[in-house]
Amino acid sequence: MKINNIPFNSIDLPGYKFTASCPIETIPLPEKVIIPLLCYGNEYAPTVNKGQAIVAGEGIGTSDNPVMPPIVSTISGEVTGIIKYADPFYGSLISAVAITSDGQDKWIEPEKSPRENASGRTLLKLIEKTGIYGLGGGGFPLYIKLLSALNAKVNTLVINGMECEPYLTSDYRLMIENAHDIISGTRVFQKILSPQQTIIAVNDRYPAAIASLENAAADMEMGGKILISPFKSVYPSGAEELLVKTILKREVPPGRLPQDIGASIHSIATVKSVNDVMTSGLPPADRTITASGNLVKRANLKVRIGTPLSDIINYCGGIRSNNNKIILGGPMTGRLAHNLEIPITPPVFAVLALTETEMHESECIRCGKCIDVCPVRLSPVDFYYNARISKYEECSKYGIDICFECGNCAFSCPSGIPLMQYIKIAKREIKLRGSNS
Amino acid sequence: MAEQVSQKSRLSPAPHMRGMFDTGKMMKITLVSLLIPAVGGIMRYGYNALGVIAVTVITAIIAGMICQKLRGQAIKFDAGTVITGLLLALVLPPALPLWMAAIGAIFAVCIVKEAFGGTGQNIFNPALGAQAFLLASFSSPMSHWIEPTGFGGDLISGINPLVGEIGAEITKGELYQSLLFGNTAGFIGSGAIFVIVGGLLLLLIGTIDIRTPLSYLGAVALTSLAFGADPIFHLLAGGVMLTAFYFACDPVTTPLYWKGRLIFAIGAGVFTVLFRQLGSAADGFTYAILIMNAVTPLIDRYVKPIPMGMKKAKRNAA
Repeated sequence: MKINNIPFNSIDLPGYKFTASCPIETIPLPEKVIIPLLCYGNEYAPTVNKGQAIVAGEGIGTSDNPVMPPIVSTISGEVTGIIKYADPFYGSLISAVAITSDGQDKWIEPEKSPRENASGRTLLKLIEKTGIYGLGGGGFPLYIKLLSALNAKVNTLVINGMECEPYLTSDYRLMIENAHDIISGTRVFQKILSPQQTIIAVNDRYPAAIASLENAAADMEMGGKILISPFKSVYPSGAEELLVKTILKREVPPGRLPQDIGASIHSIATVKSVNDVMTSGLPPADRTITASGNLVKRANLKVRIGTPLSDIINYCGGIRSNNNKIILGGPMTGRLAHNLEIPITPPVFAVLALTETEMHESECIRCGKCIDVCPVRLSPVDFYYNARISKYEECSKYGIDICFECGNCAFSCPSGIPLMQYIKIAKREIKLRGSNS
Repeated sequence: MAEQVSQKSRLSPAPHMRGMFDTGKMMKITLVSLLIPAVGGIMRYGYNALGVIAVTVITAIIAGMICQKLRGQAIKFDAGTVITGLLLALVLPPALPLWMAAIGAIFAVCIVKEAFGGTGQNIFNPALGAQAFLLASFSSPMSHWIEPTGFGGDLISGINPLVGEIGAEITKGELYQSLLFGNTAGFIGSGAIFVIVGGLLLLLIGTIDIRTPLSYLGAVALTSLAFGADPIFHLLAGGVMLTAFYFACDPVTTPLYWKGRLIFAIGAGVFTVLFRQLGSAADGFTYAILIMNAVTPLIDRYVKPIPMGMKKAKRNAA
């Protein structure tokens, strides 16, 4: 089997895939959920009131922007109120709807499932109605992404099964347990986009997943039409612009998207979610996460969107040791949970308890490690020198917008300089100054 | 559950994993690897070498602490100054008067390093800057070489093979052997084998990149071939091995980009042989490295990679 090589700077990380053999478990229905009234920066006005009875799948907010997807309740019960809370992914003070469960898990009337030979347009309509979002970490509305991919006339469809960050195994389990669903989900994307080639890119540490997908594809007589291809497991080989570069041997220009060079890329979890919606006709309400690190029970879990973090940690039997930090997402890009009441949102693909280590920052010794590991050929040290003295315009000149925050530079810096922090601050300042002028 | 979650962690940014090297660890590894040529020097040149090493290291530590005090910083032990002192001792002749060695160490730490802003800010390699200073100030004691007679042996003046003519009674094989094991007059750190072992240690642990020493040594060999000189002699003699594994791999005073580091190493290799063949100084590596140190910012400017997807023109505009 040919393993595709990697045309960019990368680092080797340990796998830590402790949960690779743990089947996906569905955790009990949460007693309450918190659902942010926000989708990709668009605020929604609540359409429910305190005390109102609600069923799962019912809309709870509307956006001024007509293309934005509906935001729905993920359990049935009663609206406890419109609250404000700080979310690590969505923002410092955002509105959300709190819903208490009645334990019955009642759902709205499902949309009619599309027929076997339904057209791409019908399928796209259903995606729009049910409001599927990307589950790879962006949480971007799928309908908008597909629509712009159609406009850009993409010819390559890439399904991303790289999962190149340590600890994560939820996509792996989906590929093992739900290979048929993933192949038929990929069929839906193929019908909508009619690409010339379709590639499922799988981490080369996952031979079992490759075999499972290949069997399913052969089963469904899709063998020649979907290419299942192993890619070298380095970090960050699963970042979409880099995976597209590896496949198409072309680079995404700054400020553009992979679709602008002809590829539409979606995660395994999104494909599975699309297939689920197509079969059930109901809006997506759950996602698969990896719970690992210092949790007593490490597992792959299927959880409702909006489930509080504490429910997940309790289900896992608590934390093994003291002095932990709780990370939402992978260890390289994930964000710190500042309390345990914040809910699981679509971008959260893992919950990790990691031992907090002291950081000691010392002087930069100009070793150039940060440059040697940058997959997009930036010089993070330039951002550090300039951001430290508030020369943020210089950072723009050096191409800070191209940085997608993989964390390689901060990981490798021997002086322990929080380069990610400097880059994030610089980006924020540039954005603020740009909007002021 | 709440008590198991650290209260301190509320602001810690991604990534939540760190690589295995930190600056302190890298310095300790370098220091340990430098002990090998230092012990080799002491074995060969006895108390003379021991005295020079002790004086430069201790003076460097004290000078570093005085600088910290003058700059209003917390006074703490800095492994970097020990490395500077030790590297300086390795490029000094063993019979150098100790007060001159002390002046060299003070110059290295206070002028070449701290006056430029301290750790990470110096333009020139501190040990080589100080060696050049001593060469200019005390040219006669700096070119007085002794034979390696170990502890208790008599002080016998010797001829540095880089300066004197090779006697007719020595075959090439014997010359290579004496250069490799340092059985000849030279710097304290001149025995090539000790430096190579130290350098291999750094390569194995991974604190230095093999491309730099290889391109430096390759440039030395090719340039000496071009001059019709003996490349093996040039590789083994004097400070070439020290330069390959230590001075050309110093992160602070060499370019940031790997392409630049290759240009640096090749340039240093060419200049080393050029100075040896055409110059009047005993060895060429000192000025070769100092010249390349001086052009490091220029090299960095011209080898800066173009970020992904950007056009070349845009880089020039910036």
